[in-house]
Amino acid sequence: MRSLLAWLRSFWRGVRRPSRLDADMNDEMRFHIEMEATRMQQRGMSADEAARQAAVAFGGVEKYRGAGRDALGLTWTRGLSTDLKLGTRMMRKHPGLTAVALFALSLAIGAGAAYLEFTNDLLHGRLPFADADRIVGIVMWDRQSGDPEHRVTAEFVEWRSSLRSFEDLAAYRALDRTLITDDGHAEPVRGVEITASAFRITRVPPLLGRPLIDGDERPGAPAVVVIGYDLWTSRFGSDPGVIGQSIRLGRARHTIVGVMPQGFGLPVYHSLWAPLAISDAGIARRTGSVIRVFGKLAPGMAISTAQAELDAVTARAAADFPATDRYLNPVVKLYVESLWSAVEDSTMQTTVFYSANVFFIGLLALCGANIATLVFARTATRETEISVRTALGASRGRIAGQLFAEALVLSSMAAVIGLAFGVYALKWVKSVVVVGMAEPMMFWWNDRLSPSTIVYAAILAVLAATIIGVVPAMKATSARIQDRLKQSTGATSGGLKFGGVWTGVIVTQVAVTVIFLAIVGVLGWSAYVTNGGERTRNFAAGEYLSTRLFLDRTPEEIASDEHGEQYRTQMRKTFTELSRRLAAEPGIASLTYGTRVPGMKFLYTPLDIDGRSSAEQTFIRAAQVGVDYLETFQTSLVSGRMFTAADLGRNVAIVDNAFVRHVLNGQDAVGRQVRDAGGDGRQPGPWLEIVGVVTDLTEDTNKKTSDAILVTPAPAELIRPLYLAVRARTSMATIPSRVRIVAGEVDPALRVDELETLDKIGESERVTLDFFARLLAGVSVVAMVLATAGVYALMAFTVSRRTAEIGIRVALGADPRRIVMSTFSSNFKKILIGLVAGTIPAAFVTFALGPEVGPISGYKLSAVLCVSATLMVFVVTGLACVAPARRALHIQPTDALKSE
Amino acid sequence: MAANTAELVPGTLDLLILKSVSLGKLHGYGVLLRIEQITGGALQIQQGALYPALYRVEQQGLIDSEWGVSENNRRAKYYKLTPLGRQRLRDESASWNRFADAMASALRATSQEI
Repeated sequence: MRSLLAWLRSFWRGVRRPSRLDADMNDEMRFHIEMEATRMQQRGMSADEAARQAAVAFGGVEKYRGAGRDALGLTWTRGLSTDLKLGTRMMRKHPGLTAVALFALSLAIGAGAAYLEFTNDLLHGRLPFADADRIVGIVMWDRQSGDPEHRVTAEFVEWRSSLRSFEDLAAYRALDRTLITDDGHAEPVRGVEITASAFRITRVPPLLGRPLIDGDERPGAPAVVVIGYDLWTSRFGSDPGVIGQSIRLGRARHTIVGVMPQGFGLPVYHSLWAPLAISDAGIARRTGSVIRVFGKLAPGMAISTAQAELDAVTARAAADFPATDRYLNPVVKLYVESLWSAVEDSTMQTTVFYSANVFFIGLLALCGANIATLVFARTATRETEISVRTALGASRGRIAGQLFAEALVLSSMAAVIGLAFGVYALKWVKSVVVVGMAEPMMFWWNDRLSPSTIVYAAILAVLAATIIGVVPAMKATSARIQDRLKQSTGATSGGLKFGGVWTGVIVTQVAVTVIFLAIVGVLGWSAYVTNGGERTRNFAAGEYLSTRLFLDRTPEEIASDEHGEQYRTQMRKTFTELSRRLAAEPGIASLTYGTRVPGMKFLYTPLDIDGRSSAEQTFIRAAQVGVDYLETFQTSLVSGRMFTAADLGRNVAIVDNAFVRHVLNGQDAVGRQVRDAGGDGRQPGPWLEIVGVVTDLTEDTNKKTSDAILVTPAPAELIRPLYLAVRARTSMATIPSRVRIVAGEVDPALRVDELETLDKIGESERVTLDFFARLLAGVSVVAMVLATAGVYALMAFTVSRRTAEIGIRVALGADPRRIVMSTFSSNFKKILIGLVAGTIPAAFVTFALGPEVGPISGYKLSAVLCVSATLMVFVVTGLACVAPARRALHIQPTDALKSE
Repeated sequence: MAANTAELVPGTLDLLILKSVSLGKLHGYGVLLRIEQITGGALQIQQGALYPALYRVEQQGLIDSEWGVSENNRRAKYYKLTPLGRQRLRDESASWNRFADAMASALRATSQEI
């Protein structure tokens, strides 16, 4: 070990300051010779003679210095350092190649590294706590149903007192309530009821006050809560005097006893913690509320030991309580892993997630192969240099090493840029995930790159350098050196050739670019004709605010209200009062409710229509709504009548124009009977009479039968989910907070969720679509740049190979067009093969993905897109030919002779 | 070659270096003088060859070096034995002594002893 350290130290010195080590060696040897000369002088020799004799006695200084370098392992580090310097110089000398390579490689390396970081954070996120690797989750699985069994209060009590492999165990259950402060401000908050042991497990000290303690869980203890940093800053203005303040969580009052520091969001993204009282008094098995259990392993205890102990305990329970416990199987996993794994054995999921890395390695290999083409073309211009060096004794490995080092400089720089890009991409992806899931970020996620990701990026850089450096080097040095030496000094033809592999790479690249462009085209067109999947609403969506309403209930209340009777009674009372209060607000013009608001997807419902056989089932979109819903959203009556208050409880329905057009093929709808066809275990609904037809709520050129809408009237307490929609009279500014305040005043248990203006609905889908659109556009740009660079390299290579021939033809007065055509005809053929090879799959893809609506569709659209994509690639690659062609035509006969 | 000197057996220079620096911190030239001294000048060493050997032994972590000032006020690199080197010296000395004894006993053998 020590000798390894010594070696590493010396190696590091060698890499860092090779010239310094050389100078030291020189000093040391000179000192030796001078000392020897002094000794000889002391024996009576003249100074000159002593110096001569001492030098002879020492032997050749240069020889021993070389041997010393070998002994210190400096020979190859010196070579490497020279190669790296050369590499940097080559990058400066070929800025075009450098720019293309940096662009493509940094994208590929950055994307690969970002993906690994994302996967690691997702699957193996590390909790920001001391001893995080000892914090594990326990999930009980039901082997019969394959689902997790979270009603494990009885087990938790048992485990808490009996398990020896755990230092501490904790449990929690969700507590989503409206937080109402004394100023009347009401807002939903994500909290949990959690055992005090959780705070002992994390060992995170509170910022203010105290964490929850065991005493808080005792019956009759004062109701307390600990709040998170974000809640403290946003709702309490970072008030240091917040400790002791009283707040309401739904109907219950609590006193704040502590504030946790920033970044603490246990269990997932929570910001409020109330005590979870679990009494040791017997709770029947498979009863009680849904809880999740986690714990901290005792020091030195492995997960497998804890698993074995739990298995033994569960096996005993299965014998004692076969009715409830026979199929149960506890699984202990690291905390984060235990949260997301959906099945007992998550190896498969993990493998799938990680193997997606192959895609990024493939992308890197593809980019690498392309850049290798360019490097190879450049290597051709250094053929003489390579041949001469080979003749002077440089080994094939040494030359390959030099090209590898040059490539390594390039790929390392790309890795640095790629990692910076990766950090940005990661933030972007995570923000998309957050918006897409409509939930906050897990508290253990951060934007920093982990060391393993940086190591991975370094490995990718070496892989890229191997592809772009070593492969061309091997090819460039493979031919018989003597022949090449002769050719580079005499004969004009032969030498390096753009072989089949490189040609294949360029053809593939051109083809892939055509395909990508066609796909981007079809998606862009599709977004254009469908207005990005967005429905234009026939009312001013920005003037409306919608929110999902429901009443908070404790697990005990839910258990005692089996049929929901109490819930409906309470909701009727609450909703009536809320409507009355909101209608009286000066800023609110009108309000209504429904199971959906326009812009959301209405429930997909099978429909039976009178006079039609049930075999030809029609699917439409249905919603239950308040009687003034259609007026509130400004639809106009086409025929029949609108709902009236008397319709509540009657079997009536109103449909829109799209229903008449697509479902009834334009026949009159009023008076027709329809019903929910049921199916999938549901009974058919009652027959409903259509009493009116209204204009469409949303406009869309692409409407089909399944976009037709049917609404039925229902009282608010009977419908779920219940969305309230209010229309602002003038400004929307104060409406959201007024809705919250009034809701809090009417009933503290009334939860106001998803409060947003109607124009924001569908935001998550838009963000996700936007994400993929940008990703695809990015890949297309890379493909296009690489294809162009590849074609350029091919052309430039040809010119450099045939300088003499072209020069002579120019001198003899040949027609420039004929020169260009005959010189580059084989290259043009390659581009054409690529274009054709790309067009065929592109035609299939565009035909399959193309929208059915819009001015053009089907094969016509496919043809237009393919021709456009092909033309675009043709033009761009054509431009890449211009510079080499011009260079060829400007070759002077004298230059041609020089090249001989 | 003088009759009272001997060629260095390959591989023994490293051992001689370890022995020399085990007796105290020395610069490269000092190591040469110390070898001459402890072998009574009986071993012939090409002076320059000492340095690659010194670097090799240092590379193996058996000796350590630092720059200092020599007895005549010149900048000089001094070598000293590391604990690993001390261990190696012990092992190699024991092994060398066994070898030397065996060789000596073999070469002393007379026909009567066979």
